Amino acid sequence: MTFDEAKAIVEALLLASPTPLSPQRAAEILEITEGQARELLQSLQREYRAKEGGLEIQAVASGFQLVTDPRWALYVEKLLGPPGVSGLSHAALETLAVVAYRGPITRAEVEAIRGVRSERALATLLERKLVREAGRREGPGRPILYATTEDFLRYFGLRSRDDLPPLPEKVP
Amino acid sequence: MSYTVKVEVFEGPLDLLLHLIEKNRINIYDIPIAEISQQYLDYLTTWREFNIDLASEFLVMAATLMEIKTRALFPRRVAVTPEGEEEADPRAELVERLLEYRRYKEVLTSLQELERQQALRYPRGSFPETAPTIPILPTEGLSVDDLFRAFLALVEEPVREIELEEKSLQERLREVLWFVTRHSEGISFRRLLGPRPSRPDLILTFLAVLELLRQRKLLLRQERPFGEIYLSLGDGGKTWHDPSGTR
Repeated sequence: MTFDEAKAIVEALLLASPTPLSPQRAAEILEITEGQARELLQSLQREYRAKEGGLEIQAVASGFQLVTDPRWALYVEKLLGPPGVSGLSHAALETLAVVAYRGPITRAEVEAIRGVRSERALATLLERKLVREAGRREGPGRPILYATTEDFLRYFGLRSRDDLPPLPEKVP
Repeated sequence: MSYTVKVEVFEGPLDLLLHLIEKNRINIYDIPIAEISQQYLDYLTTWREFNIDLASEFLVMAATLMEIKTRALFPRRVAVTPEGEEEADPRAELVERLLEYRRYKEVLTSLQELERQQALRYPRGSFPETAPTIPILPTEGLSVDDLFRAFLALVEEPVREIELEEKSLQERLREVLWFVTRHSEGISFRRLLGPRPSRPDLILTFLAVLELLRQRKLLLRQERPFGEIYLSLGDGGKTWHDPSGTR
């Protein structure tokens, strides 16, 4: 298998994969090392970028995914109609921010920071799979801990939580 | 004549306080509590006039502000406490909460921008939502809730109290089990009840089935969604005699 053949196979996998394709998974399928798979994916990503076509390869949530170029979003929307799922409400987004930067975190802790009940917002986030239950905190009542998910990373186009914009300092 | 009322939306009391602090260009470390409390209460009063539901957190904060205001009225002790600590500023804890909350509020703009940017990238399979389909309901391993709904469908009248004897429940338990054993392919809940069952009969049978389900001596099955519920023998014999005795 030549490098170009391997790259073509990875491209095929990217189109067929319903979720972001991790270098690890690609390596398993092509029987190469993870490093080689990553190299193929990144090479492909550069090619797409240079071509300035209709698609881009996005590094997201510990994998790579094929997406339409944001420049052509208007046309894609014409094809598909307006997005069925609306963006997050302010309350949900605020709650999500606290979970993202401070998680795993309990509901009570989220509420202490926001100063309002956050049960409904958390339920919405759980339903949209942006937040998941991540065990329980040891201690009285063993409250449920919440953390962000892979879907959360995909939703914001992040590779990991390290990609989050830095939380502003606590300055007056 | 029409008029528009613009109501600002605040996520909570902290959000409202931050708004007031910004609006008044106040140093967050030196909040004039009396003034801010008054403005805060004015907001609450206005909302009430418009019949806007107030989350209880807003009232809790109002109380907190009042408390801080009261404490601020007492002359501040200049001397240090016996522990050598300075008397804390009654506003300190609130300031700390406001500063912490503001960090998340500020980062929201960046997150919203990321959200917006990513929404422009369509991944594979971004198919439009098709017409809602009827969810596929499980027809095996039904829960007790499903049975209860079937029961409610039979009991149309409002429920009243009926006295049941423990002895008759035990008898009915044996009867149900006997019936189910005789129908190896399963017997419907409706058939088990027979035509026009009396109310105590109905309840007794239902209770008996519940008990047998709990003991795992029965299984529930449904041919299709909303269809008849069938009872058949479960694996209960074994689990019932669980030596650990938990069941």
